[in-house]
Amino acid sequence: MQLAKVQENFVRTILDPSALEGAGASPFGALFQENGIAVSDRLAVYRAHVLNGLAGALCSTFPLIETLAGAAFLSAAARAYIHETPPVEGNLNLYGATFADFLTRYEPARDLPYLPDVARMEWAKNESYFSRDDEALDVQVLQAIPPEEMDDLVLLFRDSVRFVESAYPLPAIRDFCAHQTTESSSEEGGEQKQETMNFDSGASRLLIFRPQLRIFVLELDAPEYLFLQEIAAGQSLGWAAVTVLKSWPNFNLSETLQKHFGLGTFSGFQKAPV
Amino acid sequence: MREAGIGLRTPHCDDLLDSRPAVGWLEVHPENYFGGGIHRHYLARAREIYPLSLHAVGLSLGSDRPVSEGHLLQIKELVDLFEPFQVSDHVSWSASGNAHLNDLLPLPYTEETLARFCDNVDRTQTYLKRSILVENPSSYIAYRHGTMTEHEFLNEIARRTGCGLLLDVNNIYVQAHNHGFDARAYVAGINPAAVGEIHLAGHVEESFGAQTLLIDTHSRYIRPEVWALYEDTIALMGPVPTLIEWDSDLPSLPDLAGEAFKAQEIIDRHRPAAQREARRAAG
Repeated sequence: MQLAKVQENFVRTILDPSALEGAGASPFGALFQENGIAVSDRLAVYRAHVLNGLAGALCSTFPLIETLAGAAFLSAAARAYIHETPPVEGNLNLYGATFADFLTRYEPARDLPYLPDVARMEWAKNESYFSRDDEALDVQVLQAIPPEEMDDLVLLFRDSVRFVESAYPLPAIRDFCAHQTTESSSEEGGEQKQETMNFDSGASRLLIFRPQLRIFVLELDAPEYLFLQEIAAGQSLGWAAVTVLKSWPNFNLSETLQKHFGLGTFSGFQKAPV
Repeated sequence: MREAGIGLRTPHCDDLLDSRPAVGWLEVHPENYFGGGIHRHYLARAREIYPLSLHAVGLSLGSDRPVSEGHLLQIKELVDLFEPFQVSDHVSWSASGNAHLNDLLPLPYTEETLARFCDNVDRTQTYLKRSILVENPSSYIAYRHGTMTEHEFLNEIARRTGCGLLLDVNNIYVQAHNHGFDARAYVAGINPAAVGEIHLAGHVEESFGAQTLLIDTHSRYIRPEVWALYEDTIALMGPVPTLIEWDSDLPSLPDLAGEAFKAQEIIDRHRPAAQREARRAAG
């Protein structure tokens, strides 16, 4: 058997339990020496290692899913996801990009409709964590720009900037989870009454980014979120402001800009094409 | 120089930077440092104190397709940034079709595999503009259609590509048990001039009826039998840089460094007398 065929069969046998079961009697299984241990048992060692490794990577990227739905749920969901979407490259930090979408289709998650958005938040944090290190825009540089040209500037975000919008209160869910894990890890946890979570207490809009080494998760109001979304879509400052002002006449452009210059949300700017 | 080093793992970073254990060097998987962030920040600080080796796990040199340029590009960036004294990956494969599995899967040792593997080593060395080391694997299954032994396969890769060998002594012990050959004959069969680094790690035993397989878990202290094989290897090959690999169920940093000190003692015991003198004179 050609190397390409061997490898194709090997991958299928590891990812698909029915292929593993039949491996002993298949032409692929006949490629291997038995030496006292069944070929399917030998291949199962690889299968276990691959699945445990990938499931472990997913569990460490999506810890809130474990808190909300339990370790058994996450482990089963991870295995179903691996079967459907194995990694395509050798950097495990980038594995799980479509896990949130998978959860929207995953039958056992049907009664936990907020779960995919929680996973989106965790994935955004993961991407932010592994984004490129870069510098915040030096506001001094902006001061050299004549005020009449400011409207035409297109601001560029830091590499770590991600946006998440949800019909669910993601920051409250995150705080609830943090409370759960502190409780279960503290020995006198029984004294405290289990806090309840109202998952339907409203929408949330998040800006997630890493100014330096620590990740920030900031909740934004609707006009500020829309403004940053317009900028992310490549609109000039002037256009972005006009778009927001249409729905929120009290939107304060200069205050919003000052806030984000202070936070270091932007990395640079371009002039809008005339 | 101290030849014995340790694999740097995230939970040990703070302790390492504070206590600066007297190990000779550090090794990391470059894949954990793709992108930016706090990992890289720690690595940069550790690099100010120790020499560094990059031990890749994701090139999949044994796949029946050219090595990924995207992966090489990211390794090259780290090579330029951290100036490692060594870059290595494994004699195994991970990727086929659209799937890249996080494992070091076994290769049939045939002429076809050898040609493919050497082509990928050539591509990697050309891209990185330096020679690399390739490491002998642990495996739990053997192909019937192999036409050469593992050590012959390794020697031939080194001869054809000019790359070096990373000899994992624990893996040799594991392979000898799992596939029923003599570990010392394997070591004696390796071209010592090609060996640029040695790995040591712990393994566990798993039962299958009356038989057992040794599983290379990097989760335990190095077994006495592996230390004995290591000592014989050093006696044969001289003071080769040696790394303690520990990836799960991590011990404390002092315990991990303790394993490196044990390896250093063995190296020092077998150091040729002249070299020992020169070292003493140099302080």
